[in-house]
Amino acid sequence: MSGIDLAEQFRAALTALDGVAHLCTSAAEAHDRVVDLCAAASVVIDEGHPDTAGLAERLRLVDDPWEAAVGVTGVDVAVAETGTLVLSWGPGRRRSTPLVPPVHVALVPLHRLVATYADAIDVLAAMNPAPSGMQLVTGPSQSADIEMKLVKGVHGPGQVHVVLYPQPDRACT
Amino acid sequence: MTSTDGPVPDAATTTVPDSASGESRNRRSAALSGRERIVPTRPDWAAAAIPAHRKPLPILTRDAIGQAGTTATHTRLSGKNRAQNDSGWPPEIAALRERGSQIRRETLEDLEGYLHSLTEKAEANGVVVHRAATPEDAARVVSRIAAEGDVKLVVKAKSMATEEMHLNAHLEGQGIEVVETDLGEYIVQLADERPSHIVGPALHKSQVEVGALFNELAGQQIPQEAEDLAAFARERLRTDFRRADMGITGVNFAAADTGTLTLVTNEGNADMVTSQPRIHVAVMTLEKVIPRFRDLAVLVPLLCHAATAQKLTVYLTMLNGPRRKDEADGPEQLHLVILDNGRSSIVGGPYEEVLACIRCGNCQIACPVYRTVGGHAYGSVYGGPIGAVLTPLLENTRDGADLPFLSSLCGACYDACPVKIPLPDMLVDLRADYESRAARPRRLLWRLWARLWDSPVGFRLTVIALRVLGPLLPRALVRLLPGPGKGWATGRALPAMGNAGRFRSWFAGRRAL
Repeated sequence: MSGIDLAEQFRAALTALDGVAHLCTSAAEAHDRVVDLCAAASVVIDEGHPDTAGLAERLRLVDDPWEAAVGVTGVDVAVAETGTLVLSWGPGRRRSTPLVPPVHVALVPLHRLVATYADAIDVLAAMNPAPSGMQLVTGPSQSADIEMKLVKGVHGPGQVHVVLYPQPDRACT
Repeated sequence: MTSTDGPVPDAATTTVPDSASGESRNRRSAALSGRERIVPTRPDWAAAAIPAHRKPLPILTRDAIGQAGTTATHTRLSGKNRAQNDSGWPPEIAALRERGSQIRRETLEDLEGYLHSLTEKAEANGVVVHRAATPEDAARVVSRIAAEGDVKLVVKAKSMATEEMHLNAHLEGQGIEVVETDLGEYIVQLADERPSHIVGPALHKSQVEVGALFNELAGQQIPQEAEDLAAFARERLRTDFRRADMGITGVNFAAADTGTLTLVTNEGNADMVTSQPRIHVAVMTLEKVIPRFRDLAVLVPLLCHAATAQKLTVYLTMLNGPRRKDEADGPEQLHLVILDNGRSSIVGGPYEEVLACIRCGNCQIACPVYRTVGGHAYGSVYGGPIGAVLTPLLENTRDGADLPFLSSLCGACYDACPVKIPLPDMLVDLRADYESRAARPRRLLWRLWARLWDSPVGFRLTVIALRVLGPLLPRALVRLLPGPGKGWATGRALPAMGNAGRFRSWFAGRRAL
């Protein structure tokens, strides 16, 4: 399956979960889209991820994720079949960035897409050294604890935006 | 990185009245403030401790069916059951079910070996591992960690293991505030009730009940749509995520080959609880170990499908260890408490497969008895078919030995089980166990009676004794019976014993005619 097919599949899966996928044609366009999405809002960004390089100076940054309206991250891999983002923690990759602000924006170059959840587990199993932890996110936070009615954005972000774009110098997996 | 000093209007929703840092740090719970206004309405369902002497099953079930809201709960659960189980296992999940069943049984073949490996890996990852034989031991371990860490406020993600330990009551007894952060758990905590279902703790509550509860908590009328109520809980709990000194969670799967602890949630509270406080304590019962990290590729989608019919839950949190030196957030300490509570004595016995359970709660939803009487009627930490099997086998809940009778033996729980535990067979065998134990004094009574009536003299003696002494007994005497006898006696009265032997004399008279 090509990167574009995987991207379409990812978009369908994420959309079904009330997440929003943005398909862009280049890294530059993707960065512009992130800046548009953040507008004037306060932002925390994972600067330890290569895919976010160059974005920080275009956003209104705050230090404390609890003061931020948007968290911007890269991902390790993303799963086309389920619309899942996989993030590992490390220097400049905070646990709080994709979790605490009410909106999460993730950058996903197409070569980071894998077909299935099992593929993503393979990637994580092969990480060496293993990170201190990982978070897999499939759509906006939800709960059905009040009379089984689906509510979005209970503790984690109520909005998840994923900006997908090709990187011509990287082959698709 | 730059920073803004002024107010941040677009983050107003996260404003906390008092700063979460510095000396003025408020370490009391915001989420529970106003809790004293709430009057619990169902003391029998209280979480703190299940009454040592449970009521007999007929009384428990009668009371449960009579509770307001039981019919509505039945309707909700039946709808969920139809949606989840009527169409059977889809082919791709059926394949995972076969594989998952194998993995879980493979785990049980060398449970202690995998636990040993898990302990080694986790310790190498910087996790402090504690083994606890009993729930009391486990609670003491957590209290000690809390005391050493000067903990005043704990945020907690849902964990059935901690329910076995009655951990909240234990910590509260030490003056530590504990806040449940899963929305359903928060609701039952405020109402002071036990969870009624493994994954849907507040399934027995209607939206109206939740609304009334939150009104009492707030001390004022708040908007009552499901979204409004969830938003109210979100605001209050966000404050506590920032303030808390310690986070406590369960564990869904613990990989023996990497030491990775995996948590499966939809709300994101487990991620908050494991990332914001400076201490994280994960509590698992020992059968939660799995052989390999890669087994998550099978077991997680299987659990998600069986529990909520999702491909994956929104959040999967995989923890290898505490925050590392070069990381900006995460807990400084990560403790893993491994609780036995009689499980290692189940291994190798006839009920070993019950430990294959991955706690999806689907057998509960599939069970017509559970749907009718509700989770609280079982009077135990775990209700439904899995509870009826597990409760008599666990160390501290053996008084639930009669629970296997709370089943119609229809077999729906086996069909609904993602790891193919033969629950109906186990229910039958546990009934046989119960009878062979409980029936001993009863059999002795029958034998005595038989001996007495073997001779005409013995028979006449009992008749005369009854005729003379019987009328002296008040007819309501049986109602004074203690314990389980009380349940038996409900609706019963002594026969008129002054008439004892009258039939024989009447019959003798007829024959003479």
